[in-house]
Amino acid sequence: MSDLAVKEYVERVRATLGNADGAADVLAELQAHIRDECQRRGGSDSATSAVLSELGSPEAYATAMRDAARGSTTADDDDQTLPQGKILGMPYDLRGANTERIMRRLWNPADPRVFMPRMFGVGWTINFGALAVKLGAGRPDDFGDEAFAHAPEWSVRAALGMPVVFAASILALVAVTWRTLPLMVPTHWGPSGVPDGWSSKPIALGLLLTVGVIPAVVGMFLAVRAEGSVRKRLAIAAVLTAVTTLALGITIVTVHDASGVSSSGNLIIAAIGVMLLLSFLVFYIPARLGVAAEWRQSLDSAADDGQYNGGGKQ
Amino acid sequence: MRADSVARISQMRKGAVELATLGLLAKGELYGVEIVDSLSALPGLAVTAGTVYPLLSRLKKAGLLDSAWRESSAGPPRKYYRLTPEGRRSLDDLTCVWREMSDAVETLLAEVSVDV
Repeated sequence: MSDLAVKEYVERVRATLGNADGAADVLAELQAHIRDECQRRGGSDSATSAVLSELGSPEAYATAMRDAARGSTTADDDDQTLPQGKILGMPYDLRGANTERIMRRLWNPADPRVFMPRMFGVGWTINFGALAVKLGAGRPDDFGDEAFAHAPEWSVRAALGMPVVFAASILALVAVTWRTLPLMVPTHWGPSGVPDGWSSKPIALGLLLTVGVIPAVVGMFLAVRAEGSVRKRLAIAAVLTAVTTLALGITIVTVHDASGVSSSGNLIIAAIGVMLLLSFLVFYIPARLGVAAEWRQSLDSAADDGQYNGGGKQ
Repeated sequence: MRADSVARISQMRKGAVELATLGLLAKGELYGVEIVDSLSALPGLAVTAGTVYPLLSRLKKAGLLDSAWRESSAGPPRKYYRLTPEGRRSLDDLTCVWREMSDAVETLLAEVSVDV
């Protein structure tokens, strides 16, 4: 009878775990735990049912085990950020990006490293959260998830609006100058900023439109679907801001230099600078405003509760 | 120390630092810098701000800690951490296992000669 109960419990855990990583280990450990505990308590039926009821429902047990396993993998990622590999000393990671992975790299104030292994491709990504802490703009635990949850909606919309404006500017610039541009436009610049490579107008500008406008449209669609999540929308805004700023910068330089009168290829460096600054602000402004709102709210309520001096550590 | 030992030690430490953090907060609420200072004063744990802050956020997400803002005499408000009832239970469970485990391993190792 009690053996049956144990068997049923284990089976239900197995069913809930499915073929998750390490399911076999979890089940072996569970069986060993039940066996040891039952023996320790005399092995009666009532001992067995006590052991099983302490474990909670099999489904809850399986979920807790799965979360623990997942938690330890993210912990590895946090603490050691094992890159997925290295080429010529540079980390690379070709796993798909998602909000958590983007945020863990681009805005992670708790992690002191400013240069994080990149979320996709080869090289490094800037952890703007660590940069904010290094610049003295906050403490490592000031800008938690709650800060974003308290961020005013307008700041999130402004962050999302930026790439839309940039993408629209690319479209407008190409539309306005198309007729007057020569058939060949510059697509490569030498170290002094003088164009040294040219391609046909439709290919060069078509590529810029593809890179600068399509991601913005797709991103806005995703952002609308992510209405409830500030973190998700800011992750989208940051990635799109970076992409559209660069694409707009290159479009401006291309259009400007196409006449061949003067060269402005070095402006691309300025575009990179602007890209970094805007990416920082996409996170920092909502985080700063959010944490300020958090302070107002919690200090007000603490004052109301009369426990204002509760944490009176100096 | 050999490289693979270092990797193994960092795995072993992870759980210990988690338990130490819960234990530290069982005495009362503290803010980030105090937690970092108290833990880094214990050289055996080898913690830095870079390991404590991610750990605090993980423990908070797991529901073992919660936090509250308190006015500070110097600078902006500080985030104070404290144990939740679940964190308290987890501390009890982990402490119990820790003692059993360390007794068992100590007993075993007492019979082995090790160069320290």
